[in-house]
Amino acid sequence: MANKNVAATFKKAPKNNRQLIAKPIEHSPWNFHEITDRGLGAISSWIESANWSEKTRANFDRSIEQLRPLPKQLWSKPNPASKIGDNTYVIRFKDVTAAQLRFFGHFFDGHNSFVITTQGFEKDDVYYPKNYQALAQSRRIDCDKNFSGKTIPFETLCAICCKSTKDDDDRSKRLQQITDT
Amino acid sequence: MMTIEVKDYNKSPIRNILESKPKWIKQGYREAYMEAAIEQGVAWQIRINRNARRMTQTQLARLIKTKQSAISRMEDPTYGAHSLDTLIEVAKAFDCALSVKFVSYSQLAYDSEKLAESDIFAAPFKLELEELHGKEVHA
Repeated sequence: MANKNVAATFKKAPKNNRQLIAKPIEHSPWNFHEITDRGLGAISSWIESANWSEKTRANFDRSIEQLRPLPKQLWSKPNPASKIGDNTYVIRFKDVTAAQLRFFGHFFDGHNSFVITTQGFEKDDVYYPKNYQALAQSRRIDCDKNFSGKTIPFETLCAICCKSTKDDDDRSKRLQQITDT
Repeated sequence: MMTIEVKDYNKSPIRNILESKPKWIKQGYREAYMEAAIEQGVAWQIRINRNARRMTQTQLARLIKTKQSAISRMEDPTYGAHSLDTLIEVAKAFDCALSVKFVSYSQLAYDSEKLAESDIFAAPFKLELEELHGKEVHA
């Protein structure tokens, strides 16, 4: 019965089963960076000070993971992100009280990364801080001018930077082994 | 009393993935993550598989005898209220299987790194037969 219904639904669609399937858009997973403030990760510091519950943190972490493999054009509803300005995007998730939390940022293609620059929230379809656009854009300009100086990997979500760190650690260990012998 | 031997667990190739999840040491966090993975993951799977089949929300709604607004809710990652009966109906509409099983956290961690569309897509049975036999299969 289900197959008959599917056939009826697709009566105007191509009959070839393979043609019924849309090819997925493949994309290399995004790295995540955050803007720095006096040398420290501004977003990580804010998250720590916000004292999120484990549930809120898990919601955020999972939202990020869902977004990682998506090309920019899929950073739109109902996925937990949207484009809201010139290379300005918002990541959406909620806390345990169902408060709508938001992070704003932009893509830096040179590092295949999304840079989180501003934290905020949404209430009654209004984003806060109200000057989120201006903030996100000015921070983007700063980051684009000096990516390595103004940003750091967000946690371990940068395959490029974290691999470099791991390679350095491995090299140090190997050097130590050679020295010990 | 029946005992179950966990054989060769230490040789599991995915066990080491837990080293990259230090937050999971806390039971509260890993349980919250599991819940978030289910809530967001199910919504994500429905949407990907519907789009891959070039199906609109209205078409899927018709197949499982519900409204388009219900499909829209199911595809909202913040919804989190999917019932097993509904998921079974969606699987039937997709002509794929639905598997519900308990897994280790290392398996969850491994699966959480495979969220691309090609990883999530569940091929319809007819397509699988085509791939197997190298020719079209009609209902």
